[in-house]
Formats: sequence, structure tokens, C-alpha cells
Amino acid sequence: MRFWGVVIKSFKEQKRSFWLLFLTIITAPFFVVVYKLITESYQPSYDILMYNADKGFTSAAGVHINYGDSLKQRFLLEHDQAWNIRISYDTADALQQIRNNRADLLMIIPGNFTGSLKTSEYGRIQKSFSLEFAGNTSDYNYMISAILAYELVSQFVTETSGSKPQFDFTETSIGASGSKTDFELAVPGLMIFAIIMLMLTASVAMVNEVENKTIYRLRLSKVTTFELMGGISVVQILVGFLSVLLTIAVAAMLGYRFEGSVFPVLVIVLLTTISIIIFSLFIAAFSKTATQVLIIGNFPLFIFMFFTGAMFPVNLKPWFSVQGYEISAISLLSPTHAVSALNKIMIMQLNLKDVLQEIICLCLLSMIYLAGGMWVYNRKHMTIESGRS
Amino acid sequence: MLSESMKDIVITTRGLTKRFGELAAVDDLNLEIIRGEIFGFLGPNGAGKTTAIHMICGLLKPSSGQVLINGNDQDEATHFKGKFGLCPQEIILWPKLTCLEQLIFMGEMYGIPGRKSRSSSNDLLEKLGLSEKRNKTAATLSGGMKRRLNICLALVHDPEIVILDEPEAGLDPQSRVMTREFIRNLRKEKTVILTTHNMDEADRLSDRVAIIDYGRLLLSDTPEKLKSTVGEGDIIEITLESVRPDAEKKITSLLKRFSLLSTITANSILIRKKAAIEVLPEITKVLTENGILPGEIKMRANTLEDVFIQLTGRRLRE
Repeated sequence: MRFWGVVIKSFKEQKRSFWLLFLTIITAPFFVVVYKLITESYQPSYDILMYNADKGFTSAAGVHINYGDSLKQRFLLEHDQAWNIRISYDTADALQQIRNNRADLLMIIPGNFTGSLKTSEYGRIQKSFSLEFAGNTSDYNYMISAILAYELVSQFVTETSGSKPQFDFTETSIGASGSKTDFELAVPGLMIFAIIMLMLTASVAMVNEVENKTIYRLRLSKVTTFELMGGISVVQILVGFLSVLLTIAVAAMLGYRFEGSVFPVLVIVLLTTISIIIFSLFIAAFSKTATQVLIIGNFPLFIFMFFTGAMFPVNLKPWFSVQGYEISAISLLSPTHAVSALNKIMIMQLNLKDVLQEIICLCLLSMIYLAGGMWVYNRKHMTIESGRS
Repeated sequence: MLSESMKDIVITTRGLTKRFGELAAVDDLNLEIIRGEIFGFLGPNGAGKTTAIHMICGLLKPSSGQVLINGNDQDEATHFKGKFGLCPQEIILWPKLTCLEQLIFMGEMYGIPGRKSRSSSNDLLEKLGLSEKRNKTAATLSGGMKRRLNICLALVHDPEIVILDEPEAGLDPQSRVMTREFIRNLRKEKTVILTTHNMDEADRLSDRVAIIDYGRLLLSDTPEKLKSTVGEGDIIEITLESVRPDAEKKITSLLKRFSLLSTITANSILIRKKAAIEVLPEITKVLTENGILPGEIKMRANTLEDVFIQLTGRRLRE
């Protein structure tokens, strides 16, 4: 009897906590839909730059042959949606494109390419040549691009020389990508993950005034929403830095070697921390208690964790690109740009000017979050009530 | 032309109404509160007192009507920031800040410089007997101390108008005396609006009292004038030992020659009578002869509760 009494009472309470119930049961179905949309829209694309350094071969009759040019034509014929090949005429520019994630691989056809194949055609002992692949050797796109390029060159050599290809390749790692372990490659993303987690503490700090009802006192005072949120944010920025520092310290204890410039890392950490705190305004606006923060905050927390590249690499089909910087659905999440920037700085050893596009996106998104967040927080908690007091 | 007292009106409400769906929590409230007075809002729980003061201080948007502060419309809310000091019915504190820290913080939120805020905070803590607890966090204070700190927080910015919502609720006798004295001392320095369902509190402290019930203003005047509306004489309160369910009608008929104020829940009777002691034997005889046995009999002077009973036919706490 007592047991059923408790069951009925619990049922009524649960039913009357409608939003908590709704948000709890909707989380998993929501992510099913998100995963479905992502997997449907995901189309892998490999960008290969090809630089032809082949000197060619001139026959006794004075006919000049350049198999490097023929290989270029062959590669361009293979071009399809997943296989984007561009010809480069400047290796420095090509490497810069790789650093900026605008290409996955630079393949350099060596100077003796035609010479090697001609000697093979004449039945002499085949002289080997060496292809050069350059890129972020830790990147999956680089690895797949290298395999595809190697296969295509093999086919071309077999067809042209009529014999088994005999060549090798050398790899040039951009920045520190070649010397990093998988664990070390994950650290920049984990640093952003540490900041993403700030979303909960920042939201709770903002909701504390509402939960304690001290917001009533503050509403009667002269403090503005901006001053209140600004004051709370300063402390949260310190918490964010502390969290990142601890993440790096623990990683260092486990063998991580920090490489890259410190100042650009600090700038990205600061901008991301501010962005996440600003985003927390939305969670705080729709919550009245810390418990509600934890339930409502689950949605953006999981989205930010899984779809920004902080935990796993994510590639979506871009909607468009600005100055070669690709914008897709996940570009609406500010940590996406932070992860990209930290990867460039800490793995590719780039500087602040090389991550300018990421910084612009981070700042723009933060401003959009700020405008929306302040408006909704102000409406929900700081203006005079139209409901019951 | 405005009279002299009209010039001193600090708060005016005109047709102030707040509806929550079909329920009118405050209905067409018209009030004038004079500068420097203690104005008591008297009414039972749920009468609309808190809703009314929340509209007056700008925390709640009226459904209709107007609040004028010093003749200016409250709608221009930012203009009035800092004029009000609200001590809410519920204890609202920062539990992890010390008494002094939260008073200084609140002062700063009103734009008071740190040093001045610290000084006025210390003064307030002294006056309300909390100076020994200034460095203790609010979470560690007793209920009475928290309530006194709640009052301090309403006053730290030296507001022109102080709103005290049930300030004595939950206070021990010692704290009640201290708080009452403190509120009394606020008179003239500030305009104080006091909401209470405690008639004694309203009677002792208020210069004027508004009686409110079901969101409507029933009467507003000085406690003395309000009590005089009930009539002169003593109040005899008779508690009945055993009564039948239909007794109310019978008692009304038996005692109609006396000034019967009311029969309350059919087990007590209120009668107003000059020189009541002379007619008391006759009343008890009439009741006893008709099988209605009187239990406890009390005689006392008029109170504001009698006024409320006269107006509504029920006690404040019902």
C-alpha cells in the first residue's frame, strides 16, 4: 500500500515536472536525428595538389616528351566529387594551402620522372624515381590522399613503361605533424573540450542569482545585465584558463610535449572561453535552477563535444567557402574554429596571422551569441515580470 | 490647488490592477502614501499585499493602472532604480557571502563607493544586532539573524522608500522587539511600507493602515480612526464549548439586542458593548438557557482585527 502510494506520488511529481521530463527523454532521439543528418550530409573529399618538377626527355630526333604532363592529364581525368585535383605551380603556395586546410596533400613529380620511364621502355634496367608527398602526416585525409595518389601513379607507370613500377616516395611532414603521437594530436582538441565543459559552471554561476532569488534584489538595484554577466564571466574566464592549464599539465605528465607559440594559444583559449561563457547565457536564460542547467545544458554540451572536432574529427560537406575557408553546419559552433586554430598552431606550428580566419569566425559567432544570449537572458530574468510574483 | 499634504505624497496608485488569468490578485487599488509615514498594508495571506508592493517597486508589471513616484510614472523604471529598498517576505541572501560582504556588494550594486558602503553596512549590522556576526557567512546564521540581515540588505543604499514585507515573520520575541524599534526609528527619515497580517504589528507601527482583501482596498486610515469605525466600547469574546451545526442562526436571534459583531465558525461570538461587564451575566444566562454553553470569556479593547471582522465577517488568519 505504502509502496503504491510512493509510486503514485512520484508519478504525479514527474508528470508535473514536464520540461525536465521532456528534455530527459528527448535527448537520445534528438541525437539519433543529428547523427542521421550528419552521416547523410557527410561526403568525403580529398584535395590533392600536384606539382610537376619533371624535366622531360628529348629524343635523338629532337622530340621532347614530358610524362609528368601526361600524368597531370591522367589525374585531372580522374577528378570527381571525392577526388579534387589541382595543379600547383608554386610549392611554397601549395604548402601554405595545406597549412590552412585548403588541401590535403602536395605531390611533387620528380625531375627524373620521364627519364626513368623512358629507360624502362628501352628495355634497359629500370631506373627508379622517388615521389614526394607533403602534408599533415597525422591527418586521415592526408593518408587516404597519399594512398590514392600512389595507386594512380603506379597505374600510369605500368601503362606507360609496360613493366612493373619501381619507385618509392618520401614524405614531408608539415609543422610537427609527423613527429606527434596520436595522443599528442588529441591534446589541442582536449584543451577546447576543457573549455566546452565550462558551459555548465558558467551557466550555474549565472543561474545562482535566479535560484537564490537574489536576482530580485539585483533587479531593484542599478546593476545592468551586462555588468552582472560581465562580472560573472571574468571569474569563469579564470576557471577556463585553470582548466586548460590543468589539461596541459596532466597531458605533459603523460608525455605530451608542447610545441608551437604560447601567445597564439593563449589568444585562442581566451576567445574560446569568452565564446563559451557567452553561449552559456542561453542555457542560463532557460533555467531557473542548477538542476535545470544540468538537464538543459546536456544538449549544447553534447553537440559541442561531438560535432566541433574537440573529441573526434568531423568533416561535413561545406555550404560555401570564404577566401578558401570552408563553412559548413558545424561552423556555427564556435569551438569548431578554435579546434582548427589550435591544431594549426600546436601541430602545424603556425602563427596567429595564419589562423586569422578562425579568429574572425570565433569573434563573429561570439558576438552573435552575445546579442541573442543577452536579449533572451534579459527578457527571462532581468526585466519586470508579467507573471506571478 | 494642491493641499499641503498632497505635496508630500510620495507614492500614488491609480486603478492598480494585476490579473493572473481570471484571478484579480490586486483589483483597482487606489492609494496615496505620504512621505515620512509608516504605511501598513493589512490583510490575510493571499490578499494581494505582496503583489501590490511588487508592482509599486517595479518588480511586477501591472495589468492596468498606474504607479506614480513623486508624481512621476513608475513605467520609466530606470529613473526609480535605487529609490526603493525591499525587504521581501522570503529571506533572500547570498548564502556563501558573509553579512558584511553581501551588504557591501549590494551597496556597490546601487553605485555606492566601497568605503561608504562598508561604513553604512557596519552601522546597519550594529543597529540590528549583527555586528558580532559580520564575518560569518549567511548560511551559518540563525533564522532570526537571517531575517534581520534581510532587512539590512533593503537599507544599505539609504533608499527613500523602504518596503518591509512581513518583517516580523518567524522572529523570536527578542528579535521582534529589536526589529520593531528599528522600524519605528525609520519613521520621518524614510517612507516605510509595511505589509503584514499581524494586527498588533500594524497597529503599533503604522501611521496609517490600508486593509486589503481579495485584492481590493476595504479601508484606509489611521489605526485609531479605523478602530473607531467598529464603534465605541469593549469587545466581549465568548468561546462556546458545545454548539450544534445550526447554532449560528439561533445565536444571532438570541443576541440581536446586543451589538453582535459576528459569530465566528459557530464556536465563538464577538459582541461590542459599552460597560460590557454589566451585561455579561445576562448574555451568559440567555445562552445557557438555550443550551449553548459558554466556555472562555474575554473582554478587551477594539483591535484592527475587529475592524477586519466587521468588514469581512471573518478573521484575518482564516
